[in-house]
Amino acid sequence: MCAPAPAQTAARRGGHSDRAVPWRRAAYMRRTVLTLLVLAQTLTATYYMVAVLPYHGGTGVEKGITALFALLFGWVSVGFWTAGFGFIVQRLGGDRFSLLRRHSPAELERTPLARTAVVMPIYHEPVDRCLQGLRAVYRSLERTGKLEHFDFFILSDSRDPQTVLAEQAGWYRLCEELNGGGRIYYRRRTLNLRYKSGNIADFLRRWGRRYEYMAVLDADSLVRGETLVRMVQLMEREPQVGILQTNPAIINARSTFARVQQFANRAYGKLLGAGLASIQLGEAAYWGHNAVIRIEPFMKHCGLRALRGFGVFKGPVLSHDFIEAAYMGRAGYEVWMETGLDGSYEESPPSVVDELARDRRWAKGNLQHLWLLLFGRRIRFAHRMAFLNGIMSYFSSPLWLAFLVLVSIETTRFVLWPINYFPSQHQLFPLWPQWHPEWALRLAVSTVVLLFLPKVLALLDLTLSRSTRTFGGPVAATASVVFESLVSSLLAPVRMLAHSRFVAGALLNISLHWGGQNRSAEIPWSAALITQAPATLIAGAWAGFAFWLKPLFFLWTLPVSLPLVLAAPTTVVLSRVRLGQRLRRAGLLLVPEELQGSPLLDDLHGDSDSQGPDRSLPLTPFEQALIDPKTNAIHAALAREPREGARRANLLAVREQCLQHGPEDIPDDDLARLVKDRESLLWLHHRIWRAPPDNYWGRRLEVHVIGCGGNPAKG
Amino acid sequence: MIRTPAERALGRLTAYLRLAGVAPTVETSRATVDAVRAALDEDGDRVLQHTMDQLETRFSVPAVDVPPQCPPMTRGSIHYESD
Repeated sequence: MCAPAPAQTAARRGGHSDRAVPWRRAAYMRRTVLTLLVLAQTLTATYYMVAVLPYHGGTGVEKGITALFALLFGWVSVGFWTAGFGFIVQRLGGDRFSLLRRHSPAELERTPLARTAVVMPIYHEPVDRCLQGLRAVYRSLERTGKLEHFDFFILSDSRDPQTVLAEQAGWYRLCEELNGGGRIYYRRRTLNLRYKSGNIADFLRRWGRRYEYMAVLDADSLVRGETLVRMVQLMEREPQVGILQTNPAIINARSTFARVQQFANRAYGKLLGAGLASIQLGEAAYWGHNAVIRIEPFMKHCGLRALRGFGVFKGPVLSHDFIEAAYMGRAGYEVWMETGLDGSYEESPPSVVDELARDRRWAKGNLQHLWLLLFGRRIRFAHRMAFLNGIMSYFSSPLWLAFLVLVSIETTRFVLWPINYFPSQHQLFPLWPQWHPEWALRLAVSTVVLLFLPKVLALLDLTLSRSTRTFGGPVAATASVVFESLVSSLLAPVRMLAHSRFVAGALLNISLHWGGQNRSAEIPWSAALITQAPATLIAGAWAGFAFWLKPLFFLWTLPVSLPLVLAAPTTVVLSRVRLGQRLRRAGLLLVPEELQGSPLLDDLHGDSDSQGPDRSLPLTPFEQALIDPKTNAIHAALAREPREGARRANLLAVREQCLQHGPEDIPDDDLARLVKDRESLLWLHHRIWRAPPDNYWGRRLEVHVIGCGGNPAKG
Repeated sequence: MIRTPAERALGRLTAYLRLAGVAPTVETSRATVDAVRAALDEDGDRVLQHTMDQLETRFSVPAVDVPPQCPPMTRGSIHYESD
């Protein structure tokens, strides 16, 4: 039975209520200040916008422009002031309400640890990379001397038999290499329900009661052992905390795009994270990974029902993390993002195409939150605002697009149509349209300043804290900020157009393929030209029209149209690893781990010293499962006993076909059933080694295993 | 280069033993050659199969000790609150 939530218990006892908790008072004050600042700034900017417009908001189009401008400027203003809060917190040496500052390091060190499961849900991920990541986390924990409190779970949702076999063999190698048998586990769901949250729920139903906490990792997550230990100690010290989220830093970037993202994350992320945390305090968001969760209340309060609305608001939840944080808050538990916890990492997608593929899923998932924002019962206001924040991350793009469309219409009307002196129906006096380009320029410049000032603040913070040397020195850090700003300006319109498409697709409830992420490949020219062609054509047509209409308007369109016209080459060039490495050698976009080294990264890239299956064989995982004696024994041990019934006959026919002709013409579903059947695995292994040399398997053995190529004669 | 069935059987058995983790000692080499010779004596046309059939009797192939895939289950349930 689950204990009542701390806040509930306090209320029952007549103890301190929500308002009496010091951080809640601070949160109230800070949020009020933020709201006032954003409102004041937005109202002022909107006032100027109305003044800039020729009819001063007197037409329908201008009303639309004004409304969209207010929304977008408000959104930018929130980001700006969040960074401002972060700058103040950083300059003050941290937030006095943060969990880490409540306890001395010695006090935390004395705190005994509770049983914790480190879980890594995966779905068609690059197997080597995610298991090497887990290995690095394991070794790092081992170095703390506190490994015995932690178990590791690889939770696979993979369907493709080749991937499944690679995962199983990889898990065995990991156990061998780390001597982690009985501590590192591998679980694969055969029925994939409710995506990642369903995978975690499946783990909790089976083993949740064995552990006090779970540390959730993504396939590309890396967390230092000391960080995990400290998080569990904090959770033990603060029983009212349900979720403790770290602010993961991007690491291990190789392509140019990833290195730009990595630098931005490292240079600005701390400041923005500190700002966000100072506003959210104990009502922070959960980002789905690199966090420690108190299992008991999570199981009791954070089950995710399918949404019962319509269209996109009906069916399983796609983005679970924000909702789980909101439910934890609803149950009276606190959710904290602790930015003082270093040593928590993730990776960036290698290219903008991969980032957008991920954003497509996230856009739909975040839009689903609108349902809970509006109709979720007893959800705290701060968590509703977190929903809004997530929604606006994507919804701001179609708003921006609509703004550009309306501005284009307004300009066209102003240039081509006769002047309307009476734009309003009940107007006594004529309105003389006025156009003040200098005002417009001033407004545009102030918006740009608002967008870029957080970067300057972050650089200033690095300089004042003498941290620029960890980014290659003040000159290199400044040059990197300039370069990053240039790249982000080039990518902003590409993201805007793509996100607009995703939002439209989500609202129309176009179904999504939930695939694993690409974490390594470069983008070829052909793919870039095809994927970016619509954006290039639209932008080219728009810029051409603007030039024809009014050369000045053409100049105004350039910050958006030019990056879109250049979208394909930008995509290709940024995905290049060689350029990324060249920039690194030139001292640009450096991050602390690249200069100071990291044992975690060393472990990630270190060679395996496993005595497990021979990995040098140029065989597919399926072929290796049938040929290599060790691999075959591993998969056979993990497979199930033969099942009788009608399907058995079919399975026997499939394995006979596999033996005679190889696996190439066998559908994946049949292969998957084959590798799950212990008897078939052993049977095929036995016969393959006795296969004649001119058979499919005989040839594989001769050429790839025995190492004698050439024309096999009958034997 | 065309190889004889005996050469092929020798190569296949050696490869199997290497992959299975059998130490390549003089005794192992001698037993491998003996297995091929015995297979030739038994049935020259099916030397490959007969050679591989002697794996279990002539060699002690190390067993693969597979660790537990999952810990024992401790069933729990997820609670769902209505919105």
